[in-house]
Amino acid sequence: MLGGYAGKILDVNLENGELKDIPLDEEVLRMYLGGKGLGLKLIYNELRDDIKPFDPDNLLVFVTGPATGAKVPTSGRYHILTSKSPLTGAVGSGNSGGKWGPFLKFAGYDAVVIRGISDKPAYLSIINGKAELVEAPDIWGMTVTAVTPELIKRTGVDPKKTSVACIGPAGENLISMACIMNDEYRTAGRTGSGAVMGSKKLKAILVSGNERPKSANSDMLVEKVAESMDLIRESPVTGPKGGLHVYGTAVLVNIVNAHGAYSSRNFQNSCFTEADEQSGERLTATYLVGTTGCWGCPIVCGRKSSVPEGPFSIRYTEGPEYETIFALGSNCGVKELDAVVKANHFCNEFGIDTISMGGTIACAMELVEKEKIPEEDLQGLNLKFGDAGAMVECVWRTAYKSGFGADLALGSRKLAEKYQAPEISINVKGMELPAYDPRPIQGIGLEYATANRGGDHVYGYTIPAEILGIPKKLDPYSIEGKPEWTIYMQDMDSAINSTVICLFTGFALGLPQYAGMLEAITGMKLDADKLLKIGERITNLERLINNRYGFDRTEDILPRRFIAEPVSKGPSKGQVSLVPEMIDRYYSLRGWVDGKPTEEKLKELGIA
Amino acid sequence: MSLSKNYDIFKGKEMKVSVKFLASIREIADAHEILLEISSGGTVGTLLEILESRFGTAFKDAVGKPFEDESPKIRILVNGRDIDFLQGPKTELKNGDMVVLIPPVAGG
Repeated sequence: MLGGYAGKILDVNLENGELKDIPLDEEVLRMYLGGKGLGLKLIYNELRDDIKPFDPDNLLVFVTGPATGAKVPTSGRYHILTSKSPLTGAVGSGNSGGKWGPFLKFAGYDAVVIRGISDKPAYLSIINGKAELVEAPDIWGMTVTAVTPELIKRTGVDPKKTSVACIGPAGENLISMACIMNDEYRTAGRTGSGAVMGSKKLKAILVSGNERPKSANSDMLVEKVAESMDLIRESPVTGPKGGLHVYGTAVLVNIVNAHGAYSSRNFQNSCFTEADEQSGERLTATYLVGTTGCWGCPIVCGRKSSVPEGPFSIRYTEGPEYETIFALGSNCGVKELDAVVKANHFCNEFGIDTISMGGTIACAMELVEKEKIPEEDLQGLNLKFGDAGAMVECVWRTAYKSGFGADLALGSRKLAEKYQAPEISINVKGMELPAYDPRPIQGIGLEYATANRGGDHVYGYTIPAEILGIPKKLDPYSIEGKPEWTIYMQDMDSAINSTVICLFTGFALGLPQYAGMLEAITGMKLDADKLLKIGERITNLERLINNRYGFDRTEDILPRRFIAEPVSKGPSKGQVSLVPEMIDRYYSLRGWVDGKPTEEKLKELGIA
Repeated sequence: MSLSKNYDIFKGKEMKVSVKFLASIREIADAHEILLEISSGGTVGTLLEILESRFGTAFKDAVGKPFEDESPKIRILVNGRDIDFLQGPKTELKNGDMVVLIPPVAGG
């Protein structure tokens, strides 16, 4: 057996309560590593083309990688997938930190596959190799920070060796943007996996254990980790006094705004006049009370925050991240950072993806602005850009489908379709866009359009080169070399998310470091090219699954706004996205025709 | 620390340029944004010399030699464009331009 793996998958059938151990297939691991890649392969093996998001056989997969829990930096991560996302209709996918991944592995499993629907609300515990399904109707309805300590108390395990992944009320209520939370404040945020878990009536999975898998070559691992740690420590971004630790991800607010790419008012504008009031610098000077990091992370970018007084006071919470500040702040025209902290807290408590939540509220605000929503449908909600109180109210109303919240719970695409203005939903494949306006950043536009999981920035994170100059500067306005760069980043990030370690290590490390550490852990012979090829295989498999669902080039597009409406003011005035000029070259480089891998490409990659 | 400081340090010159400091550079300059009057025809290079003279050694250490260092300690934007995609240190400034100084930071 390869090093770094526990060696088995727990297969859970909620229909009949059957729990089975499935041994890992070494050949599959060599092709797909773990994490996202392994999860996709497990889903593909049982794929049904006409599956619906809340069907019993929509698989919900929690999966670690060989690096998860290993003695390498940022090894606290894992991946969650669903055969079909309720938000996008594509395969669902999200990645999370915290400590859940390592403790699943220490409990004896590399992955958990959930199938079926339970009769009654239940939770799953996996403690030192022993798995148990427990009916628990009384925990249904609990918020995330309530159910987490409750399950640790009920099972009597050592909290230091335990982690809980769970849904909040949003998942229970099948909200299309519901997410799965772990360790109270970490989340696999995107594509609505929380709603799939809710449809299965599975409230939580508690993991606890001590058994660490051995690495294949511990001497080599020490050497490779030392090299990587030096690079991480020396980097002005990831080092102990680096920008990520000192300011968190929110440091990007002012930077992206200075580039004219920090959108506001549902992407109607590409900058936000009051950005400084919600910046990382501002957060650090006001509501920050400490920092926190995921398991095994030397970067420690997490924020502990508190708003001591006022209408948005909260004694303790964690975050907000850059993406959240954009989504619930500037994109809703809201400048008040304390309101964003509060709304972020509600999203964490109810289990809601902050990006899709903010994108949906912003969409609703524009629908109101353009008089598309009848007054009576709003049921008293004063939904206007810039109204911080209304923005916060929208979050809890969405979680409980209360009043107009039932409309918001649809997500922006279905909401805008309901009010006959589909162009006002700013989405790709049904998923709301994150915090980089694609008009002045050409690569990220192509990345959004082609990302298999829908509008997403970290599917292939082109921003470091286009905006931050890492590892090299690429002119954000230019399309030259962007299809190549987008493909490289998408495939590399597929490999990293299958390893699984944190994408933020990419600010200091590259493929040679990842390949070296993986070889030491697993014993597979790897180098940068081989690892990138694995990443390409994973991206293509994911594309193939979407093709089976009917996706093709007609879904690889940006909202019309970015093509037809040039930026009207600010630093990037006049810019439009040039995705239509790049897409054919992207397909050609990929070996795809009209958004579909050719048989030759699939054969080359060993997929078909 | 005051939220912003204005330094009209070159009164009588012909044009005004805003300079914004981000992250750690902001702490060193002890200012969010300043307004400078500089000579017509001034470039990013001359602006940086003025700033180094104004803010002293700590600032100079923090910015390094951005036009020479292999891994520059700061990036400079003029009206939202990295000067590497303009004319570098020879980028001419115009009245009303916004210059932003960014240390090496990142997020997600």
